Amino acid sequence: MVQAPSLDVVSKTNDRIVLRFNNVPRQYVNAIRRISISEVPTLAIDDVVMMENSSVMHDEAIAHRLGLIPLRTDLNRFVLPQDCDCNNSLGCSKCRVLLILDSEANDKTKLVTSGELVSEDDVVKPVSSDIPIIILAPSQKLKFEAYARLGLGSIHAKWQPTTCSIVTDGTEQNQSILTVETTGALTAEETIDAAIQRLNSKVKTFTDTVASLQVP
Amino acid sequence: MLVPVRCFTCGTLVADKYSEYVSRVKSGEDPAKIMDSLGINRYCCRRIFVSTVETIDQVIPYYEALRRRMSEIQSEID
Repeated sequence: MVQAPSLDVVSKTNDRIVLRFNNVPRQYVNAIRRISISEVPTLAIDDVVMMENSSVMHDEAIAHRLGLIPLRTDLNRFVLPQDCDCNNSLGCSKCRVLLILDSEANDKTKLVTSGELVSEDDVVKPVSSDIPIIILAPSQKLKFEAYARLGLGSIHAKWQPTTCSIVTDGTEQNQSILTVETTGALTAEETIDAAIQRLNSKVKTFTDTVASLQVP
Repeated sequence: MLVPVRCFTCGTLVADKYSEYVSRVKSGEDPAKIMDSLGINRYCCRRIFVSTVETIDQVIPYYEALRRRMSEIQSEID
């Protein structure tokens, strides 16, 4: 006998959610987990134009650190660069956000943190203002423009909204427990929501494709 | 050179909590308890805290000394 599927929320905070699925196929729960890792887009710094860098670190090393800084993302306002209709290599306000930093150590050694990044958007900002970017010795300078874009975790891990996401057995039969933790770019709830939407659209595309196949 | 921004394994943001960790370790607290209170629960993230050596702190004094010497030379010329 097939029992009715049900779902309850075990615990929920901004960056961590635990869901209990009853009588839901394990494959479906795992699909949600896998899509939250690699197919839910987030914003991350993708292009850095260095104006001046007299610090001890190379341009590339700094750019790599910048890419890993989680940025608060509003999925409703942005589209993936390849889906944007602007046809501009630099992008438009729908597919990129400009962040600038201009910092100089005058007489004292200075720690430059993510709090000094100035974003052109009110929402898209580093999730923490205490992430160290570089330490500048006196008279050293760092100045750059950085472009944040939406991207997928399957392209680069910096675009992954989740940190740790796992499916485990529940206490009863036909029970799966899905735990999703996020970096702060999206809340755990937003991540699950976007993953389920993505899964539904994939299933729909698949069904439509199968239905349109002509059997010779 | 500096603390890694994220945990290599799971991707949790760790860099913003590192300076607090270092200052509390220096004041004599137990590192395990500090990490618990900072919400660093998994051993992949904990090893980042335990094993990071910020080599930039060994490089920066050279540039500070260079700057000091430059200003000495400048004042001698003046």
